[in-house]
Amino acid sequence: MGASVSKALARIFGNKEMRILMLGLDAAAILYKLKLNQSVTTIPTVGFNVETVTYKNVKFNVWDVGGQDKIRPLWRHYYTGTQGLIFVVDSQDRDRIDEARQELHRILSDREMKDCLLLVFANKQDLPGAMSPAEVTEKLGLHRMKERSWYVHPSCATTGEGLFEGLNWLSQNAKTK
Amino acid sequence: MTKQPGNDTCADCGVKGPRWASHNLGLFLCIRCGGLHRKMGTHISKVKSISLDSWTPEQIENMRQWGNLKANAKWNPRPEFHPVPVNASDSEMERYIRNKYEKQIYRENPDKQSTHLSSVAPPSTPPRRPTNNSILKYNNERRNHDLALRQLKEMGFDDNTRNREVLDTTNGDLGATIEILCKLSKRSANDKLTQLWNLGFQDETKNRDALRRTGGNVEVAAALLLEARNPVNNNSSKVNSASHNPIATSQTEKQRMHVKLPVSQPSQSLLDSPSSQQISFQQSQITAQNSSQNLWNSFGSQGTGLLNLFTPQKSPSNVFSSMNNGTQLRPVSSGFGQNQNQFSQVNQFTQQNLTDIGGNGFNSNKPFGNMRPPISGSNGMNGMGNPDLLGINFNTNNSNTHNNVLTTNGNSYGGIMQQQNSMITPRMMPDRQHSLPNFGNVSTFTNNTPGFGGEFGQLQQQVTTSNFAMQQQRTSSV
Repeated sequence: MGASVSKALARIFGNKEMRILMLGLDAAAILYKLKLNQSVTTIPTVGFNVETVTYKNVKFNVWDVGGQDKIRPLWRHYYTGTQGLIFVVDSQDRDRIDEARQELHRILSDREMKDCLLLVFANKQDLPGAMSPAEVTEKLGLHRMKERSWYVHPSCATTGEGLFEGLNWLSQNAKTK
Repeated sequence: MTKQPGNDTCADCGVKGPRWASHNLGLFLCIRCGGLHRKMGTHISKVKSISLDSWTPEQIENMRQWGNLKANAKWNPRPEFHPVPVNASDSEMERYIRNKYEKQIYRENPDKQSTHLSSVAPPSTPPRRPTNNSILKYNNERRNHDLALRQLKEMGFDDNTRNREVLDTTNGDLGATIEILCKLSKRSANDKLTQLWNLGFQDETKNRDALRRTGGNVEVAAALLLEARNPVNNNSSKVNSASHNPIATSQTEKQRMHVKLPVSQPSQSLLDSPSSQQISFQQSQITAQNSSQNLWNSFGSQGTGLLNLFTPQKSPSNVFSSMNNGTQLRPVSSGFGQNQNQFSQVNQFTQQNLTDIGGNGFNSNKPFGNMRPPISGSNGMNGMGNPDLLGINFNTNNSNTHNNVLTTNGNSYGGIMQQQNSMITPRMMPDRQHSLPNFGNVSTFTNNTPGFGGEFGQLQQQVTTSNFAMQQQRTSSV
């Protein structure tokens, strides 16, 4: 009864839920910055973290899955039902951007992910020598992606800059569907 | 490689069994320090999981070339000055790690950039511009410095300007500051000895003794020595009461009770580590009340060798107060000379017993580690382990407990690294991992089983089941 009332209210006020999968380096720091709005010291994610973040009437169920080489094959088990992929890139690590590109394209080629939105956080913008969002876009080969809505946004997990802007884009683009 | 000595503990915090590594620095790390390294950025440290990431041959070769011992000798060659914060919060640990690798302030000759590092980090990287945040942090540090200064003063370090200087160099690390100050006061003790020597008192042993009794006051010591030459009233107890601290004679009965406890039941207190912790805690309370070195003198005169054995594990503040007072603090030599045999017996006994309990995760070679109370900082161990800090009595006939302990335990404190290993106390905190912030990580993953690659089926199952559990939990809490 209570559940159905809240569902009805949610329909009236436009509350909705989004299932988000967040992959990439130090996604946990972003996740907890979003959730707690404070910079926490995270340890590398081995396994996964999941939190619910409500922003502008949208309830984001955000899954952060550890990304060490050998556990990446496990990512695909989180694809089902994912409406948005947040891919976190270490803008400062030029050595591994190519690896990031390969992984990103591998994820998006999965059948389960064909409709999901792509948000790329060009993270660690506070560090010296960080790549600009444009550079990240180019290095990830996003321009070649025609039939997907994607968005690259600069961010800094320690200060929280850019994080909610990214969520904003996700919620707006989910509306149009 | 992780089995090699040095590599079997985290290079930064000393926790056993590191499963992560910084492949450009060649360090083996625990997951928490790995996280902190990652936070600094890949221009400083590139962190990988030992078992969950794939490694290139070059990366492995770099790990082999460096290893924890060699890398620590480079990044923190003097761990006695820059001790690893024990039981540190994440922010403390982060500060230590950033100082060590990012700011490189612990290095001896930072000009000599290694090829490994310079290939990764161009030395010309501009420093981060100060933000409001960092200014706030600076102010906070300033306030902390004031607090630390007050504490130092209470401990007896009177020279405020010197205290502040040392505090600044150690970035407000109180423990490190105290150690440096102790070292400095040791140096001044040496100066005083030379002064006495120049005054014509050439018996070094007597000079030390006199200085110890007079609390480092050269003039009074000289008068004392003069008195000793003309034997009129040469009574050591009288001398003792003539020196600064009259408190020692007025011990309360309660304190005596505490003091006697370990003496009457030596075997139990040594075997049973909680009780020994309790005792040392009581000791620290006593010293805190008295804040005077005379208490230790009185231990010496009671001939309670066992208690002296406990001295290295006092809470940091006690160690500091005692070390600050330098030579005078050590038990009176007359009390000691007589008891020397007794000490070595006690020590052997200790060693034996501790070897017996060594099986449960402790290292039997480090009896003090086992007996240390959780409250004590690493500095207590430094004071004991560092022959330098033991100071000037080291080579004289006045063999004191510290000396005794060092030799009878068969611990070689020769190399710096070895010293560090014994100081960091990794083995004493086997449950450190549990204090890590756990953000809902699946623990089955953390075990990093070697056969991980081939066991996806099983793991998948674990993941999916915990997914559901997790989701349910979250939704209900939201």
